[in-house]
Amino acid sequence: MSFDTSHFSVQAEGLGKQYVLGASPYQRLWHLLLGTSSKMASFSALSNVTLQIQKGESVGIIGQNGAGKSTLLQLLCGTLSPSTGQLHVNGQVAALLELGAGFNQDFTGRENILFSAAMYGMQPQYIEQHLQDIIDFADIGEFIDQPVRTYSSGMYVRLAFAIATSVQPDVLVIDEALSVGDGAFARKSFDRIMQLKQSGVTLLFCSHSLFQVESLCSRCIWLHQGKVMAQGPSAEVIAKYNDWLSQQSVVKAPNEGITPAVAIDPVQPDPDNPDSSPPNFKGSAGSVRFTKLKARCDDLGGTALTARSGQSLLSVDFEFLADPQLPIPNLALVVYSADGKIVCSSGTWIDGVELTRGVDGIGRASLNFPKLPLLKGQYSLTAFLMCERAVHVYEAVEHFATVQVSQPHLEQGLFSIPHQWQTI
Amino acid sequence: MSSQPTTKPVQVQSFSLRYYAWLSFQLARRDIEVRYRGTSLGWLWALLTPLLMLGVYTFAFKYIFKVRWPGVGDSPVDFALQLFAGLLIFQAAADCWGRSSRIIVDQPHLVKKVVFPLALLPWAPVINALFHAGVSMLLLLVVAGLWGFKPHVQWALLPLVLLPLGLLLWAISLLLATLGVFMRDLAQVVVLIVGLLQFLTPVFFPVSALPPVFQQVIQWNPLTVLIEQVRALVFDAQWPSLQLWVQSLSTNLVLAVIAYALFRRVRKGFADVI
Repeated sequence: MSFDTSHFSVQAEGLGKQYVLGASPYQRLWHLLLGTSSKMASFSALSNVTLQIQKGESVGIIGQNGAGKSTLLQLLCGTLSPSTGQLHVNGQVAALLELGAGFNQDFTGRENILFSAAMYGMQPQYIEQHLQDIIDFADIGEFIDQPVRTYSSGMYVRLAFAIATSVQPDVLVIDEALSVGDGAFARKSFDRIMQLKQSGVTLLFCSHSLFQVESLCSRCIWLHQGKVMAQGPSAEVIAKYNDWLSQQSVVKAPNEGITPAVAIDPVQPDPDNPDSSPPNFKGSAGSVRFTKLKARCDDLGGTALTARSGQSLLSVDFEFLADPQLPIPNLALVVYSADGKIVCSSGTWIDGVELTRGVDGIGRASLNFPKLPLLKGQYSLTAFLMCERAVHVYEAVEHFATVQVSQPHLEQGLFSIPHQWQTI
Repeated sequence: MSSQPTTKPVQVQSFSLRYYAWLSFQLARRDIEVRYRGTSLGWLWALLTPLLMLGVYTFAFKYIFKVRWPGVGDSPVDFALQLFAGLLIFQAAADCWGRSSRIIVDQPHLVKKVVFPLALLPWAPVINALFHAGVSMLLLLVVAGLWGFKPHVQWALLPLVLLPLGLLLWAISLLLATLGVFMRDLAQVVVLIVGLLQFLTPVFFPVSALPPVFQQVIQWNPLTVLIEQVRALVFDAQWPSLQLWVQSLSTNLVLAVIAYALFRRVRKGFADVI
């Protein structure tokens, strides 16, 4: 097969990875030396994957655990070699797979930058030019000259992320998370990834967060047990995947016993960072979080609500605190059924609602569902506070309230769609 | 947002020989620093270790076993210098090969998590060993000068011996490191072999002291010619034989090519066993 390298970032033809089971290392060495293949039983982690990814394209990889997603990513990064098929990756690959895996615990952050950057293929003079940028981005202060064994896990991952993304790759491979660290750094790292994506980097994103995959990636690959189940436009593939998932979950026990968990910090001034934001802003720089979240049903608040189908008014009051230097965030509410499926959702960006906030960074909104169309059953509510693009999640408060819906009639289903009968 | 990246990242240049050299040097520097970091005497150990070792060996062989070095004076320093000339080469090999078999195995993240030119890893112990051999050479020359050997021009050629030595160390290191990935017992075996090698290398005796048959045999040890050259250079003020030097260099080069070819052949299997 001949590869056209001008348009494609990644081309794979019949790509597969098999692991020989049970062979001793000596047998493996022997087979490698002779160039023969072992006749022992093998496990196929990935088989017959054919894909072409164009330059600048964003492709999502979805599937359950053990579906071969990580194997595929490792093959693309070159850390695994394919057993069958051909793979051509055009350009420099940067992988956000195991951040900080190459750090030496006894060396300082600065020394580890020099060394890790070299491992990512940066030239010495390039590293020297960008050393300060990396240190600034990691933003771990004095710790940069301390051995990394004294770092907190947050600092560790900050430094590793700063190094890994200080180079402009041609292909960026991300496993699971679009951001690393917490709070302000999570947002900063997300921005860095988006910046890379916009600059034309080919993005390969493997995640369980189907929402993020759908919003970022135009195309999607669904893997199951090492095989490609579907490949194509994200919306189609994810819909198929969701259907398949719900078929699988029929046999499983429904997700009962959702425990309402609300732990929201009231607004408190940050003693460490008093001057970094406008004087009225009471949070730490770059922080965006919920300060109040309350569900009401017919003006009765609480975490376990009861409602009457078609009659009650369900409302959710949101209050959030967002650093005024950041763009206005978005709010979303998702209603889950008792077995964990999404019944419906609502987002400010979908409905074209622009939130407002005061100089103190506090914004409020409420969402109303009049004449609640849900039918009988138990439902739970999850709230999201998201970035202006509605991709990065600042905070998710899962199942903060449950709603027990009762109905006086026998209508079947989850909810009642507005409808009209006509007699002819 | 206050801390946006100030400069746009630029494209990395392709891998070059210069980059590999730089990376090897960084690996080696780190390797040497780890050895002395946290010790109160620090870099002084690089000088102290060979000195102390020299003292111990001299005491043992000169005063306990009462060995006499053939063809040189009877003073303990004469004996010690001859011994030291052999020891500095042998010790470099022993230090380096003793831990080579674990060099790749001990860095699983470099095999599985990142794409790294693994063949560079042996340069860390090799350059480390060469560095200490270099320090020992300086020490040898200083002591020889103080003891009455007249310094001469040939002494300046001493570092040339390090070139074939470095190649030899790297070749065997890479071989051991590669095999060590598949054969975890190798590290134990190497310790035994290195211990044995000490007596198959002219460290405690000159080649000329052996029966002719064994003289032939010991020439097969690639360390022999290097040790003989160091002794000839320092004590006899001989111009080194260019033919021997080139021979040694090319033999070691062939070894290095073989080791690298083997490494290339089995490298893709590393991730499956580490």
